[in-house]
Amino acid sequence: MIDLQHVSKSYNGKIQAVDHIDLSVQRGEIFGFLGPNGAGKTTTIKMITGILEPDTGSILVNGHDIVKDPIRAKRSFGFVPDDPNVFPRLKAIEYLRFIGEIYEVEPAVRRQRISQLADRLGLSSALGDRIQSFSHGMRQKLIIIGALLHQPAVWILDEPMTGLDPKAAFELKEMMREHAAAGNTVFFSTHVLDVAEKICDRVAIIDHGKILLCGTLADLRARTTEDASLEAMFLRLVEQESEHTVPTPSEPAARKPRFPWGKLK
Amino acid sequence: MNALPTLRRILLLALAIFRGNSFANFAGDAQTKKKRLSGLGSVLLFVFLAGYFAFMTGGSALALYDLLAPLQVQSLLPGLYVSSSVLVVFIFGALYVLSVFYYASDVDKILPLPFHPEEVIGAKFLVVAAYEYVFVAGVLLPPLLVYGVKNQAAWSYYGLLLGVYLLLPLIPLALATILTMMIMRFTPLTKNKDRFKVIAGVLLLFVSIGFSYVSSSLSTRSGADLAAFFSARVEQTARLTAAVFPGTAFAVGALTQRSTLGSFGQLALLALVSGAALLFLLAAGRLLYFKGVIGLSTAASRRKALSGDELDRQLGVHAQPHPIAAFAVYMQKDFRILVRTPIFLMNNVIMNFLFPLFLALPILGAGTQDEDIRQLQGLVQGLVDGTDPQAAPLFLAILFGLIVFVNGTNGIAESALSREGSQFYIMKIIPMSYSRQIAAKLAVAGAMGLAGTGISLVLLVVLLRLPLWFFALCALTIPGALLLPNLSGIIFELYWPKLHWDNEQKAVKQNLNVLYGMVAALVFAGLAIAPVIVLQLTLPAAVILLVALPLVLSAGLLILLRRLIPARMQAISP
Repeated sequence: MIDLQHVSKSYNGKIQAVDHIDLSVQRGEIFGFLGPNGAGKTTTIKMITGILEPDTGSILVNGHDIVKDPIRAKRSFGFVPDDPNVFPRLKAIEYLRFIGEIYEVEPAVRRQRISQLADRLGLSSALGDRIQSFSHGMRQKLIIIGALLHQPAVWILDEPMTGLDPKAAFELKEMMREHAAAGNTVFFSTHVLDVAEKICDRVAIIDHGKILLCGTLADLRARTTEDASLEAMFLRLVEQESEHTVPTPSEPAARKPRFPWGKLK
Repeated sequence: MNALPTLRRILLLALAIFRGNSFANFAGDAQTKKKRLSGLGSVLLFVFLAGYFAFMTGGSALALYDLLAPLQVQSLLPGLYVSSSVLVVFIFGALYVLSVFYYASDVDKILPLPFHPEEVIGAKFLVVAAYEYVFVAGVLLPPLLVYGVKNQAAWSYYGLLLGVYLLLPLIPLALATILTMMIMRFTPLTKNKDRFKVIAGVLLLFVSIGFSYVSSSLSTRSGADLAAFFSARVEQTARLTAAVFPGTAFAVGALTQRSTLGSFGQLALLALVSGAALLFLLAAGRLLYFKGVIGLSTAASRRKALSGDELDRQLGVHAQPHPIAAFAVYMQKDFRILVRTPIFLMNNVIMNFLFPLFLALPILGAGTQDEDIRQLQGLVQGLVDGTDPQAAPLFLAILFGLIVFVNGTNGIAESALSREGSQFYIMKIIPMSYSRQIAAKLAVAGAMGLAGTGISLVLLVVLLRLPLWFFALCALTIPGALLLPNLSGIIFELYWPKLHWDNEQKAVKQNLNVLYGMVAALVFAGLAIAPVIVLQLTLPAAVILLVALPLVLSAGLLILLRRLIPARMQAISP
């Protein structure tokens, strides 16, 4: 469903944000993409969704090359960005109609799905309001509805839990499970390792633009030879990687500090 | 409270606020050499425009001095320009205050910081005052320098002028600030921020239109008539402004009194009243500002669930499936954002429709006494009865130039990508080709331009009584005249979109592409008009030049665009 082959991306030809990564995510999988700040997660997601073009390599989404056959590839996925910024001057319902028409969802189908998803996420009473009056979490919910409107084969989410209330976060996890159970793929990046541990079938850990590890939690535990939590494995891996990597002067300031929760003892 | 640390904190905060609104933002964050150059270009452009403005006001003072001197009433000039400056500061100041004190994006960042209300008010007042000083420098200084030179004033006059310049804006600005703070504190107008911005903007436009109408009416008066008019009105206006804005009389007195001591005495009084006004502002601000500004950044909403029927209607459940539904909904989205965002509405949409009005007012205001209008009517007469073979081609070329200009100056195509800002990524992820999305944006720009153009043409036909066959010829030139500026505007956007902004204003008002669009429109208009005049083209030749050539050029631009769009869109990083 998502297939990355030797994908690289550098900024200004100096900062290697993503460094020759290979990744394959299968149908029916929930795949967690983990890494510290500035590791290359968002750049990878931007390349998968066509926002950025890779310098090298190829990316297939549902069998369609995002660079060579972008329209078909884009039809195959729904995307929830980390910053839920959508046309603030439109009403929520106008935004959803826009999405429905662009993705050619039948009017009756779009009506039924919007009602169902809005009820589930507690957004029904706000559909007639302008998006600019929405809180961060409400915007996030609206984008989730928009992303699922055409029932995409691949659902890509960048830090989706940010700003969601506990009920909405629970619903989102349920929706991710249901989406994968229906034979689709869910690919999401997160800092919340507990969430990844609970719902992911497989995870990949990326740092300095390289995939450090990719597999099921059982694989990860086998490779790190201990029965640790995902958080412990993650911290150990990233710490080892940072010891092996000599920072270059061209590295952006945004990459430091390396851990959002502080330095390891 | 200790005055010195407070002043230091006010200055620090003012500098921080000012940096956020500085010229560097014209070209985004001035990080790269290219952007720094672009920022420098903006400053040069500003200097050029300020110079041009100063030249205009200075020139008007020169003409007025020569008109009033024979009647020995030239001493009315300082009163005229001081009153005008005070009014300009008050009207524009109120809008600046609204934007800097209440609607600036820094408000939410400053409010949680440990600043006293008077420190925030002082800093924001300094920022607004800085803008006003630039503005007043154009309105007040060139005319009164001209007055000083023509009047052979002593050196002390120029010192007094500098003092008046520095003090004069303070009182009207303090009053404008207090008035705005009262409106924002006590009226329900501010609940809908967007609507309030539009109302304030429209008011300002009407002031400008009124000014344009009055100036065109004045320009038709004869010399003696005008001098008599001025003697009566200037004194009346000066009395009125002196009553509303205390200190104005001292400013005029400082510039017109014969005794130097008396003049400096008047300046000292102006300083005293200005100081009192500032203290009053700080005291009023303590009571009004924070209560009016807190919570303003949150937009109001009804939170009323849509009924089943409303949902059906809004989602087009019963609409017939249409092959261009996606294209139409994309246009609709762009149109809604354009008309619902106050800054875009004022700068792109309303200006597009006001331009015809600006065009018509001088004709209406000037009446039949004006020499230019008589010439214009003579040209129309020659066109109607066929006595002047050059009239029809010349008029057609002028109207073509006008349509190109209206479309090139509305800035809709020239900010089509920039207006997306941080939402540009949506253009990249939706399954609609970039060419189709750009076509939808062009269609919106074209439709807006067509509406503005249509009104302009109808107004001209009615006001100048142009024959219908000529109107039909004008209509033939519309497609080319619409396409050329809009296509070139979108090409500018594909190369230099201004996507990184924190305030919608920056997408249109600080976007160089809008300026490039204006220059391109002027070039296109000039290229159309010049051959008609120089080569004295016949009507059929002019029609071919103005209908066919723009279409051929537009076809070329379209071919270029088709090639450019995929590569350029891919290259733009949101």
